[in-house]
Amino acid sequence: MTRLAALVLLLIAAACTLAPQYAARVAGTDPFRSNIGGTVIVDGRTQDVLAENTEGLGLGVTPIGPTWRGAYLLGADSQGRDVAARLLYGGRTSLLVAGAATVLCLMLAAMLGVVSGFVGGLTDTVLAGILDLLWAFPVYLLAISLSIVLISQDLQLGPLRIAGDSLALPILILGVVYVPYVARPLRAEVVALRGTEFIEAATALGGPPLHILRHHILPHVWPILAGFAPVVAAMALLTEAALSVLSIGVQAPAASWGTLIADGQAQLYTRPMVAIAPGLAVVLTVLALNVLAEALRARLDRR
Amino acid sequence: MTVLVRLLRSGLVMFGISVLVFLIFFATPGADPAARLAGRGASEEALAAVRHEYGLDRPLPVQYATLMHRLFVTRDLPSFVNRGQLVVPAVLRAAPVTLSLAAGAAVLWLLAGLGIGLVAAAREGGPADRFATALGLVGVSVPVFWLGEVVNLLTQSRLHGTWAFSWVPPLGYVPLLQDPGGWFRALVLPWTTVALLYAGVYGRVLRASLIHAYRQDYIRTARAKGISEARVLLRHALRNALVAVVALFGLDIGALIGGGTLLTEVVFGLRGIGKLTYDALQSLDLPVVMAAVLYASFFVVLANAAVDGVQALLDPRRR
Repeated sequence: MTRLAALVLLLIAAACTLAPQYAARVAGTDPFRSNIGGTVIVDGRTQDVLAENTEGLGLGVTPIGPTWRGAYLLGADSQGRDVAARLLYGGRTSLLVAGAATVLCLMLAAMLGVVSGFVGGLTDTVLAGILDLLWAFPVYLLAISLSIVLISQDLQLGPLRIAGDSLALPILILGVVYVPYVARPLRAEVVALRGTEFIEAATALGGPPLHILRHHILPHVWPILAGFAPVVAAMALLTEAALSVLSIGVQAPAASWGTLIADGQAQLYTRPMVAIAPGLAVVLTVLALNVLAEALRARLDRR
Repeated sequence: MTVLVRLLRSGLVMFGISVLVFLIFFATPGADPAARLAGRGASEEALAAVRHEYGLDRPLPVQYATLMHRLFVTRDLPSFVNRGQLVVPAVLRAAPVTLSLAAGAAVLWLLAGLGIGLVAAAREGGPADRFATALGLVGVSVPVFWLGEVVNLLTQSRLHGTWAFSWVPPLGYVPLLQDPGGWFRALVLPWTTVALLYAGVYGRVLRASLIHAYRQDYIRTARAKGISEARVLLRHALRNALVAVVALFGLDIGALIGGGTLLTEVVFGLRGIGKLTYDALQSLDLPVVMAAVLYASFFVVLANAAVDGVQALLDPRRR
């Protein structure tokens, strides 16, 4: 199971990395340009990418369904863009955002958790209080508040200016909201370690605090962080999709699995593949991450 | 005494959350909060109205007090995108829909989790056990809005004509007091969608704590006293195992009210707080988002306090 999950993750990551090659060589279209009047040849017959509706009032158009050939493998979206190519590009964005958010979250959590637990005293009271407060704030509500404020106007952090449609925003938001999830158990672990005999012995021997931190505390911190990595990545991926569906995650023209699901909502009943395919990609990736997390947890528990 | 301490702590957390929300909406560096609150392309007069309405020319603590007063005491905060709409009454009007969805889903997944957990614990490694493991893993991996779309696709379109789903009403909400049957039919699929995601995890947690409970000495004592096996299970093992389930439930209320119902309402067209928030997000109607976030997170904090109380009832060690 674990090997299969790792293989699935690798394949998905590789496929998404090769998105530009797929779009250029196999699909033969630009997945970021609308192709409203375009045609595609399927089995020698020329078909419109967007066919006009013939039923009822004849309003609107229906995009071509899956051809199961190179071009428009999974059909077209409402703008005549290749769903399969957009799926791979969207995966690139989703994996990048979730991966970067995971790294950011683990780094912040490691700093907060270790400092809070190791320094103790007033620092600990304040930091632990902040973490407890963030923990009590439902993650999605916090993410929604941050997102809607930040995407509606550019964020100015000193000399640094982050535009409302930058990918840095979802990374920043997803990285921050899950910090207490990792930092609180980490802090508890560091506090517990500080009370153990070997740390007391090291302190009694006159070991400087930084030495104790590096040689006696941090070696116990890394495996905990590693155990959290796939869990946080899975949650970040799901939350990115949710925020993008709410239109406050990844902003156009960038596409992610979440924005693709949102795009496909209008044609759910006529061309379900547009929304179903990116959702399946999310499920598969998150499932693989969770299987890995489970295996990692079992291994860390045994030690 | 402990109840008082618990309430005090909840009050402190609610104060902290309200300050945090206030800072996010009013003190984020970058630009004018008035322009943010008034929505896209607001006129000069609208901006002036927003500044006056929120007292934005006054110091931050005064702004905070004004906002809280208008949100929770006078409840007359207006929306600037939908002119004339009062924000707080709109949130409160939508609350029954959200509560119906959340409560029904929770009942369903707790019952399903109970069933799965009991069967899985009876035979470790058996088919039910493996089913619980698989369902739990899949449940935490599926985005709820996507599952809702799949359910809609099956029941509203492809298979709607068949006997299996011809009873499914069109998307939307029916008030409970108006038509209880319609209320149930309108909500049963949204409930199932949400419950599917949680049932497996709850089954697994219950299974693990049941198995743990059965290894304890007090179970042996209970059996030695000659108590029937059913009574051992219900009064001794299950009661203890439920403590873990209740603790998990407390954690999930936040995820449910804060995220799960929000997206489920959007997919199933239920006009609750989630749909209200969604619409406000589309039109950048920030006062509505702010009110919905604050009311929802306060509800979560209070619900968590209630769950803590239930836990204390079940587990004397926590009193």
